[in-house]
Amino acid sequence: MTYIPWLIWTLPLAGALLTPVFARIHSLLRDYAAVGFSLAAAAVATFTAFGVPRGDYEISWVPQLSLNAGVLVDPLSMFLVNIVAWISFLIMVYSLQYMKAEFGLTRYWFFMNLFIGNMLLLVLADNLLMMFFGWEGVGLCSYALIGHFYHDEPEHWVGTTGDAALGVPQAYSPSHAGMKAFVMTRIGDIALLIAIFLIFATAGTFNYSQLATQLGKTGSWASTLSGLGLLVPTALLFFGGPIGKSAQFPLQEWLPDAMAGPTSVSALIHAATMVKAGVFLVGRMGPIFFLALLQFNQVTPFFGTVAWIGAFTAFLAATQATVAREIKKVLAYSTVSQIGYMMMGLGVAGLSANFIAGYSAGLLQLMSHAIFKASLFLAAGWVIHATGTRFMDQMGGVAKAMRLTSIAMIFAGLSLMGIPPFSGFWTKDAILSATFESSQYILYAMGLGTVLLTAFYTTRMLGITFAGKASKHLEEPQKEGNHNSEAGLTMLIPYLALAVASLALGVLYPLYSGSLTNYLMGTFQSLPPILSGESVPGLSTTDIILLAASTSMAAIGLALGYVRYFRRAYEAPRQMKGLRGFLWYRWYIDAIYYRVFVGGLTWASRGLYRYIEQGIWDRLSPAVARDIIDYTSASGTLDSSVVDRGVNDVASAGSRLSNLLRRFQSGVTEQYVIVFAIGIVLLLVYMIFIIGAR
Amino acid sequence: MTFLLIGAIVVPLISVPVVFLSSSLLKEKTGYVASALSLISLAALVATGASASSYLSGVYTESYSWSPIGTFGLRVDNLSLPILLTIALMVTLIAMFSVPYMRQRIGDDPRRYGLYYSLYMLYSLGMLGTVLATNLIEFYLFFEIMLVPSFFLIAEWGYGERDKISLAYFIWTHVGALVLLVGILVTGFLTGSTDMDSVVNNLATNPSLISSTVRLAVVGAMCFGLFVKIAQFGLHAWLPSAYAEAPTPISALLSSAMTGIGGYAIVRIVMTIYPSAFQTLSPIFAGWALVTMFYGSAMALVQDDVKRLLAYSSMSQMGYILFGLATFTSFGVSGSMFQYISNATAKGILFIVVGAIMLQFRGERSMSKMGGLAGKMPITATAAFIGSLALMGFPTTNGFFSEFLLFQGGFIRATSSFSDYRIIVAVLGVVATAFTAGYSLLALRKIFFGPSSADSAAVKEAPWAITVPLMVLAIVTIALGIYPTPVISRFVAFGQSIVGG
Repeated sequence: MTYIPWLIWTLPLAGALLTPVFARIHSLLRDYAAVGFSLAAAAVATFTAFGVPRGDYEISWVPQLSLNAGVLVDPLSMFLVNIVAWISFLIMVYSLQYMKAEFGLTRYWFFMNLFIGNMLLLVLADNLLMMFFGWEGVGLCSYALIGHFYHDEPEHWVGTTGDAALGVPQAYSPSHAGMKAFVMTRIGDIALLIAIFLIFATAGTFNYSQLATQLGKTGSWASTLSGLGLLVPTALLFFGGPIGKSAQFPLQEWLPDAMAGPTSVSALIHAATMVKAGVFLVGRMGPIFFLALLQFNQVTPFFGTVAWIGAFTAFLAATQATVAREIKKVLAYSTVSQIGYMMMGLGVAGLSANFIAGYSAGLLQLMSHAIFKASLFLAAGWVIHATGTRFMDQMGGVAKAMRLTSIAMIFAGLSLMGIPPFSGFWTKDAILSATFESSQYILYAMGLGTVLLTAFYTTRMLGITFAGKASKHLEEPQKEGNHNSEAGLTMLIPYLALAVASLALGVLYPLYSGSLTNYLMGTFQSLPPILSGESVPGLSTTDIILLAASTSMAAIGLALGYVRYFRRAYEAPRQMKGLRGFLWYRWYIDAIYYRVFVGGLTWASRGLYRYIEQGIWDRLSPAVARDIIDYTSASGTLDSSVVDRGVNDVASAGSRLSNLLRRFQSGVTEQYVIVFAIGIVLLLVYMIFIIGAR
Repeated sequence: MTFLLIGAIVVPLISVPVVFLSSSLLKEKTGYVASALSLISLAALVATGASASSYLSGVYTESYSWSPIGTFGLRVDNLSLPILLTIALMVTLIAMFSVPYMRQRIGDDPRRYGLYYSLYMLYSLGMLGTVLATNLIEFYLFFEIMLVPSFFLIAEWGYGERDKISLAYFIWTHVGALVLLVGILVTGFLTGSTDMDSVVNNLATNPSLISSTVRLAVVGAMCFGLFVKIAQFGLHAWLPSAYAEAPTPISALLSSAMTGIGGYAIVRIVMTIYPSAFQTLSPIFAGWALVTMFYGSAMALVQDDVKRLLAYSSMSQMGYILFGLATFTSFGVSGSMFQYISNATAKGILFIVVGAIMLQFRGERSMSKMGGLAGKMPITATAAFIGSLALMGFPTTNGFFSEFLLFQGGFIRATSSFSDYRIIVAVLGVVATAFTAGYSLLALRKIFFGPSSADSAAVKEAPWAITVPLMVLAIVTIALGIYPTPVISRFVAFGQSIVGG
């Protein structure tokens, strides 16, 4: 009974380990068992949320470091775990049909379950070290799954072939994209690790609740770090991890290229696992850092950074989505942008008097986004599959053939735009009003502008893909009578259900939002009372004005997009110039990174190798070897020829060298014996000494 | 009086003539005999470990009179047991791997097999003896015994300019050993004994035996000698060529088992006898280690020869070992010793993988000629991934815990000493791991991903004599990555005994 919460994350891991075993028996058993394990995890997660008392379910791990492994059952973890597990399950169901007949399926199911298990582990862990296991685990799985088609066939690439910015090719193969994701997130992880090391070095524990309770005492980790002037740097370095994992500026560049993986993987990365991990971690440690920083009046630098990075990333990625050509890339930019909103919400939480408002807004946005983004990706996966292209300009008019798919995408799209009454409307607005009420008006304006852009790019995507006439690419198969059709039920039901859920959760939002926020506040029960006991804000006049403002921005974006892409036939632009080119090449950030960091490091390493390693050490080694041979043979042998040789040497340096070289190659063993003898002689001398001394 | 430990080193000694004689009958299969005989050493060590009752205080010593030098002792304790087991395991597995590899290298001559495996067993004797030794002179003798056979193995069966390379290897490490010997002799002369226990006791009862200046000089000499062995920057010139051009099983053994013994010796001798002098010099060592870490990885980043890449990677990993020791904390010391084990399993895996690939590519080592091998050799590829993850210090591999401990040691030293220098060093140390991830992932991509090259059409999975060692090492890597307690508990206990809490 006590260890039921452990099952939530161990079940998918067990499923992963059993996948190769089942694969030997039958491929169907392998596929259904994999889905079954993810369903079991989801079921246990829901049971735990309702049926298991809150608490820390610990076992001993490394007693010498007083390190325990534990599963923390509290409102935050339960909220996240249920979203992750259920959405993952739907994606797994979808995969049954979507991945049929693809290559490397045993590997696919193995890493999918491993991915889910690691995500659940990182959410459930009761301490930073165990969390880090899951954290790196999702990194590894994303690497493996993004690079699933590791033979790098051209149809699995992402980006337009031949496209280059500042001389850096902008098309990525799966294996390159996977590596890029791993390395870029790893950079963030290094910052995170440094912060974890600093916290442990001063606190002596990794456990979240112990870190929180220590804050009330004298000589806490926060005061030691503050004394070293390292408290704010530690918090900021800690935030580096979420920046990498959740693809925030300046480490956002891996995510758009991660689209090289199968679409079901993209759905998993964007909706359930991986990018949500960063938001969760800020949600987990944010309150603790808030309390720590509050003691030393240093709240603003940290939470301000979180909010500003979030707002900027939201805007940056939204601009890029307005010119993207691949449907999955639009969705990828959109994820980066939406996560930016969540970070903005969590950031302004610390900047306002009402911590819970921004905090819960950020987490609720995570929930709506998980649902509509999963739906969007899964539906897009089918569209890509049915049309045989990843480029939107090669689609067009597909709504006729697949009505339900287009309805699902439009529902989920409206939620993404923030159109009432979809759930995205409420949660995004909650973030914007929390920002406004914390008096961060510039951030608010950036958020509002992003709303317009979001509505525009979403409408653009829907318009180009579904409306109008079929493109040339689609005409030929259609002439041959090969019409696009609706997806099979195994694929259709997951994304349709998610789209309907977006609507339902939006319609019902006023009913459950208050109690859900109160539930989430329960996370702070064990913390000092600064955070808890704050009321959920009611609906004031200001709120209504803010609602109207954000809705009208969304409406403007929608209208612009509608006029431009639904009413007119779409023609892909020939050239990427000016502002369009700037956005198309992602503000040139990616290219600059490759130039400066990858290019710079390679250049520096090559230089070191050529001038230092080969220039000095590689030459030194034989030189030293020769000199020593010369010396030892000259002094160590009683061979009279040494003298002769010495005379010769003086007479002719050249013959000396060749002489040496010859001996070097032929008399290796002799030389060795001579050198070894020195050691023996020294030993003998020593023994005589000792005997003499006694 | 039992004879377990003397057994653990007598078995390899006896097996020298045994394998030599059996080779005329068994030819390349002599490797299995060598492997089985090494397994006896491993079993003896396991038995000793089990008999050292509680593992927090368990020390098991066998001493034999060795006049006039003192006693010839062999000891298993919290520090040496995990190291010894690692060495014995590596020797056993790599002997197995030698069978298919050396068949290609040697061909048909049975006497050459005899010579190879005789030297191999002598080499393993040297390594085990070095770690078991309780007397400084005894230590030095084993240290040299370790060097001699490895020199001949490289000179006889290496690649490229093997005679020059083996000689450079020999001279560098031998000169290092001589400098170490000077330190040992001064210690022995001034304290009146070379038994490590008596040296420590004599110094404890009468600290004035050696002045602090002399101590610094002795520590400097000893560390210089041992830094050659662990190839710190500037003293590393022998390493890249020796690793790259040695026959691959020997590269595997050099890199995984032998080099790190230098790190073990720093703990066993220098830090135990002269803790405070070592601490005085430790900030310099920390910086030196950092340079080695960065330099080694930067060199690895630009290699196309996969063995040379692994060679530089080993250099960088040895930097990690010194980095941990230089923190002078129980975390750092245990991390470094754990790093010895993680590096052994990881480098063992990776060199065996390279050997398996070289066998199929007729000795080709250039990564740009490989590609797309993952599907053709799935077991080898999986093992290579696990090995690389361990190298990167990735969680659920032993590499994570070892790097975690040694970096945590760095930060504990930094925050407790309030030193900006120490903080910068600690931070840069963690940053260095990014490079490891960079070169490892790049190499994996070049070798295993992408389209298959024309040369790799006929590539198949490696034979069992290669896949079995790979699987054993992969399992050890992951088992210790999830449950490191048996190793950590021993090292932390030992670390606390020499550097305090």
